[in-house]
Amino acid sequence: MAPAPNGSSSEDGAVARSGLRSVPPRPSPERRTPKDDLDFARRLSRSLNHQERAAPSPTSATPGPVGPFSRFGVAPHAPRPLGIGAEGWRTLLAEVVQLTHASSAFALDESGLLVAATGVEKDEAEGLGSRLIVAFEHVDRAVNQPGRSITIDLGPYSLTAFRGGAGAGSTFTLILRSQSALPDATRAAVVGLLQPVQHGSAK
Amino acid sequence: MTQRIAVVSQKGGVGKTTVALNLAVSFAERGRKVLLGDLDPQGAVGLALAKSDTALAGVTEVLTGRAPLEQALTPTKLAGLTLLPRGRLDPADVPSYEQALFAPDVLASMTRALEPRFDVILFDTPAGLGMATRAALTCVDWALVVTQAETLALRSMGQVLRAIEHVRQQQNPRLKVLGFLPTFVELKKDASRAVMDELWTGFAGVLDTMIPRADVFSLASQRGVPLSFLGGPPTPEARRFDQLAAELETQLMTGEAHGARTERQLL
Repeated sequence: MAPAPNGSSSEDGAVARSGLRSVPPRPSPERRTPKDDLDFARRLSRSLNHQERAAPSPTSATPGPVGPFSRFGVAPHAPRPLGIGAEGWRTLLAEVVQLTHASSAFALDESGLLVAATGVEKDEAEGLGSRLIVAFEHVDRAVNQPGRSITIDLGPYSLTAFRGGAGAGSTFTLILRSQSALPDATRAAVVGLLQPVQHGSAK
Repeated sequence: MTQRIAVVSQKGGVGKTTVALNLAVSFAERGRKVLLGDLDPQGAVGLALAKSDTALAGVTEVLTGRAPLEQALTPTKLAGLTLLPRGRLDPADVPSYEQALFAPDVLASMTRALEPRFDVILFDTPAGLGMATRAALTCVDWALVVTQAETLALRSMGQVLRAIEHVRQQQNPRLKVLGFLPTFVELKKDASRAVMDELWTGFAGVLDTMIPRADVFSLASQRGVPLSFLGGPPTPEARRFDQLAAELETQLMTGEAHGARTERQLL
């Protein structure tokens, strides 16, 4: 193969031609577990997504995209404090359970981490909840608008997920397990109970 | 404004070339003028089209000065699609090829020369994060990350994202992640679904479109044609690439993210 356009023909130039420079290697990263690697990848995907959404349009004179090509993707998943505090959530869940006669109720932040729960174990809540959050997002995209709640009738019981704002642009999902689908009036009442979370007013 | 996209992955065999080829076809069928550039020393695009390893001139000829860029382009029977193949490369010269591609401004100058003619420039890259992939990331606007819906691919995601972050910080601040495209998806299998669950819940930027594992891909490779060129009714898999093109086009051409659409008034 003929030399590359910017290569030299001398032996001494071989290293230069090769493009290899004697640079010291970077320090090895600390030993990580596979879980650490996955956490790193998740954070980086969100970080790159956040940077892209925050980046201003390029102003360089050289040809290039002039944007704003805002990023597709879900909102950043960093956990945020959710307005009403732990005690507030306990009170809220108790009221929701009393209103709906749900056998369990739990709330997750937008990254699927448990905020509060009653009547269900943490692992079960997070596992089920994260899938319902995904289902909610798929429904949003299917109908091209954000939904307020979804119900899944599983026969012996129903799952209802409500989405609410938690202030500062973050959201939460409240999930109820009940013997049957909630009547419209009850759903509306639950939505009303969730309003204080948006404004951070603890009961 | 020409959109320049690099199709990348850390692992091999995830379907990069299949994605690059069929996505290029879908964009062209949607009326875009598309260039599909094959930067893979393996010449995977040519192989996918059942071409002999030495059939087509391309990037190699440009890098070695044996042909001008114009003569390295191959028109196709799809009006809007042009190929820039790898060219006639002796496997013994692969290291030199990658070094030449990675040299400052080499690929960028080729891209600049091609931009006025195309709406979309898609680069297929080799697996991994070597010089050819880095060269592509340095001169494109978008990285489309192809990831197989299996555990090892998931575990290596951090590597490709780190490379993208590094190029973005050091060399190409315009570089953005266009999205993560899952391939070989089998939702009825626990392992594949578990990976998909992790992608959907843990990662930002996972595309709605996913490419299932399907025998039709082997058939298309055997025939040396893109999916939509197979005889008979359009396959569901070919329609997936139409869906992918539509999904990406929305981001590329309108600047609206799925999750960030603002309400509009019709009247």
